[in-house]
Amino acid sequence: MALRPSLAATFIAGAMVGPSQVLADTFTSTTGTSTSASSRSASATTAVALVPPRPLTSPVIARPPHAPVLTSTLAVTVRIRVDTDGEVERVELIRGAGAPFDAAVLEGATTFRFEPARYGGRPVPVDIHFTQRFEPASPAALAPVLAQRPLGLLRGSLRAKGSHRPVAFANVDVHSSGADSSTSSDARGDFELSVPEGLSEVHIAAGGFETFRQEVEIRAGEEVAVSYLLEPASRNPFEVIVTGKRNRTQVAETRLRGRELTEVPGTFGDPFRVVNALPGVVPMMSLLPFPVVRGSSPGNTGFLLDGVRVPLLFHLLTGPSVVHPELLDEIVFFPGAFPVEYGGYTAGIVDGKTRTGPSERKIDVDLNLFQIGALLGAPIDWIDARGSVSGRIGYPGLLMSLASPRTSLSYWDYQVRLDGGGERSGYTVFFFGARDAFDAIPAALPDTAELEPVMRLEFHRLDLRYRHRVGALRGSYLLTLGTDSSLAQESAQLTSWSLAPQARFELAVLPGLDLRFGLDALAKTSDVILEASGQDDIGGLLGAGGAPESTLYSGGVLLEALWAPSERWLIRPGARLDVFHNTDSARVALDPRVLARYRVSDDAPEVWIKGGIGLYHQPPRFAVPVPGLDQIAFDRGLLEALQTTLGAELVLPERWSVDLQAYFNWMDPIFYDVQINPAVGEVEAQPPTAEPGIAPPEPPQQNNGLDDRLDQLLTKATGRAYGVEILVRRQSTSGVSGWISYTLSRSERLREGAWTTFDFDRPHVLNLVLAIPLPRRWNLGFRVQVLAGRPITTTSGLATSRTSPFVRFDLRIDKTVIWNDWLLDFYVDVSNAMLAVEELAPGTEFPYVLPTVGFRGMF
Amino acid sequence: MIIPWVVWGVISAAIPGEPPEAQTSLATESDDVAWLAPGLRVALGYDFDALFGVGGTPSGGVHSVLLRVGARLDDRWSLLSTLRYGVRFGESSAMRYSTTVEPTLDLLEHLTLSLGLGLGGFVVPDTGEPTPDPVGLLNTLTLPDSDPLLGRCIGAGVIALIRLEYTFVVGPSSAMGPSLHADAQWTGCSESLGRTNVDTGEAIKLRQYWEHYSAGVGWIFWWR
Repeated sequence: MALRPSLAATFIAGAMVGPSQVLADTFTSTTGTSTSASSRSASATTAVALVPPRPLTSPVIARPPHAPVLTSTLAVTVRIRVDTDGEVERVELIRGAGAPFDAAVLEGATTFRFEPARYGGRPVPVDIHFTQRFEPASPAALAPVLAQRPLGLLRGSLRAKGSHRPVAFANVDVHSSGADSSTSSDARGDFELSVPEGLSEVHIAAGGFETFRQEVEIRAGEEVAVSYLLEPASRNPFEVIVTGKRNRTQVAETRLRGRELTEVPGTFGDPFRVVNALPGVVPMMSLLPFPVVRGSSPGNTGFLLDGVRVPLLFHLLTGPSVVHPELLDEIVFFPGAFPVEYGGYTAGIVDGKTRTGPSERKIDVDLNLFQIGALLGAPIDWIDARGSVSGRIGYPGLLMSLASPRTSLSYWDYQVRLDGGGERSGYTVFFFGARDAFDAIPAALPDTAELEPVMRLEFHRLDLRYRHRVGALRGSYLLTLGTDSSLAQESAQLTSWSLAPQARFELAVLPGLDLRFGLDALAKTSDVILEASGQDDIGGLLGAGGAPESTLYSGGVLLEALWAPSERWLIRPGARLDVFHNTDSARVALDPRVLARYRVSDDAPEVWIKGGIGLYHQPPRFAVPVPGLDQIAFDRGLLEALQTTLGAELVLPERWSVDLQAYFNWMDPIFYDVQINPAVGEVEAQPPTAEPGIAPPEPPQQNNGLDDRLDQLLTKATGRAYGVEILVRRQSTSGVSGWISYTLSRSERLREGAWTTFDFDRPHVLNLVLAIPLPRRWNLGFRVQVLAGRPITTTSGLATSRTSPFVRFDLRIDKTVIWNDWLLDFYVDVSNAMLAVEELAPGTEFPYVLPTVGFRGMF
Repeated sequence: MIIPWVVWGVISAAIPGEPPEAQTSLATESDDVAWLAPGLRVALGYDFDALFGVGGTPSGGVHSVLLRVGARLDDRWSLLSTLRYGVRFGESSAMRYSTTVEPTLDLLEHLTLSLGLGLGGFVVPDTGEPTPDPVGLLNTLTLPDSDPLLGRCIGAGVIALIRLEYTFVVGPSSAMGPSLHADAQWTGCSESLGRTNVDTGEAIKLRQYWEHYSAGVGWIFWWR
């Protein structure tokens, strides 16, 4: 009995990215994915396209001679290293099936030839997984039967449902009465087969696809053409996501990509909300997306889009972020120790990196209980560019109106992006903005009265970028034009205009030594229109000395060296000098910083030790970004922080990694620190008991005057924060992925000569995020967040007790249905599924659950 | 008159043949067989329950949405988990929720029986009763019974349920059908009195245990 090797094979590869490339990737490919298909997918998900290796020879290994007769299918899996020439560098056995079969695959795989994988156009070495199946041969003796019966020709084309990619090297078996015949599809997914006349049944098996069955009628001497669509077994055949060995140049950096951005339970698919599940981050409260990073107020962390500050990150301050999730390629998060490239922040950085327009037409539409969104992208051939248009309209007020018909909430955002140019030079035009509206019927009016504006937040930005490379020098130039406006109950309106040029240069001076230098500038003018009292205060905040208009100028220069004295060391000394000037005052800040990494081990597990120390300055900012009012007068000084970080990184097999960091931050001075706890005196004044039948007396009214609040916020303070963070993570697009993060920390402020814990200090924060892909294109996601209580005031003093701990469980289920030409993703996301009660303050409990269902179509 | 046909024949011969119509796979197994195959099952559903509160605790009709997730283990057994969120509309609106784990047995073809145990709770912003305010209360107090009733309730406890369900298989990946169910729930309610023990910082609350029974009908849509 003859054995016929299966042509089905599965490739899984991790790209080895070159040292000068910053992006990190992996990719998953299925049997015989052609170059065109792969490049389409890679470009759909990555800013720098990775093209997987393309087999130039049929990756089929013949049955070993003298092998035992098989009664069932055997599979042998090996890992193949394909070098930059497309040659097989080495083959390692992953899962065997017996000596003769293992030996045949180990030897046979060395003869494969590939067109090498390319990353950013350059050949890169990759590891791929290859599975060879050996199946029992059909019992029918084919040749004699074929000789006796007239034949017809079956000519077919195999494509993947949804993406229409060719399905290469698939087994095609045709069963007709008394005779079986078989062949395999070629690299283009085409096949031909002589088939006996009559009704036949076609069976097709291909790695990564569901079994296919069809019937076909063949007449003698005739040719029948068929086109078959095979259903992919994986969840998203459009998606090729790459995670791999990346160039590690930072100390405290976490990058989120792919499904980590849009499918973490409890985030409603919003990438920026995922940051709250990372180490070093404490949420102010579980529903508020603004993070307390390493014990600092949220206003001290920068929320950026492609390195530019976003004046309004979350719609209505608590909703989804103002950028369409599909436009984001990755989120880069620094809890501290960020390089001199980022200036004007003393805590962390959250930088969303947008992606270039797709190389093929792409339409993405999503709809859920709160909003509808769409992204349209396509190449624009006549100007040799790629473009995309996206936007969303939110209607959370529809659901809210069920509970409260006297209010209305709505929002919209838009993004338009155009990319052109090539490897040596190129440009990007990015135009984006957002608007939020909150209306309500005043309390004194009946329900039938008209809604009146309570709050309006709006901004628009135009980013113009140009990049070029001349020899060893790379340069990029950015000009950002912006306008912001905020309105509060028609009595206060802020409007601002800004112009922010920026330049960055990178020069390879010597082997192992790169220099980076750059310039930042900002000119901003603000107008305040205030009908009620308090204009002086707002003007004062803006630095206008009470005047309704203010102007702010700032500028900075930065210089950094990336010095690799040996293959194991990377040292990054650098400094930035910033000047801030407004109507009343001027401030200068010098921020020297040093980051260093040392690679302890090359072999698995790859081990790194890393550390950083640096000085960080920023102007005072509000706790949350508000358009037109994000930067406050600095006549009392700039905030300053000394950050130190020491850590280790382990890169483990199977895409596991461990990141451990310890930090100590000294913050002096601090302004605009968020404080919500009452003073001891206010607590002591509360009545502890009440007589029966008599309502307890109201506690003394706190002074809610704006002056007092501003004085409290602008009081100079000193703080320190220290802790340990650990992140155990697995990145995978085909298997289980997720992370466990734990933060043990303490954040304190010096009050009245004693160290007191910060109002949002939570010593223990644990996050478990898990995504489990299941058969039939299901994906199950869980998230558990455990927060220790935050400090509260008692008669014994400030921060002498804590609120109750909070444990939150989120759930997300995704199901993808593949139609002939498009995909439909259906999802259910339940935030705080067990309705755990969060104690915001003693006696103030907040039970909630936020379930939503949504649909997403991808064409 | 034959010339046009000749021209048409020439043109037709010059135009390449239309590509064949793309075909998808025929079913490889019957829908009923596919439905019995082990694997993930997910359902969304609607329930209406008549809720009976013991000892004056809130009663009424509750409209709920369900999310059921689980696995069919073999052709007879499944292990499911159900999240249920319900609202009692009206002047005294309330929210009821539960999370149960439900071993499920196929009694007959398409007819299943589930027994569930889990966590159930209430969020009742206003029971319609005034908040009791015991004399000189310095710490949290548990009331011995439901008289007097708390003015508000936030809390959870144990729920046990039984569910009988009939499913119509409507395709290779989906099924739907009606269900009958009944449950019993014991809830540890608490109400914050809005003040704290100033020495410990702990909120001063009243606690009370509520007992409820409910029975209802529903309709569930399943996917696999």
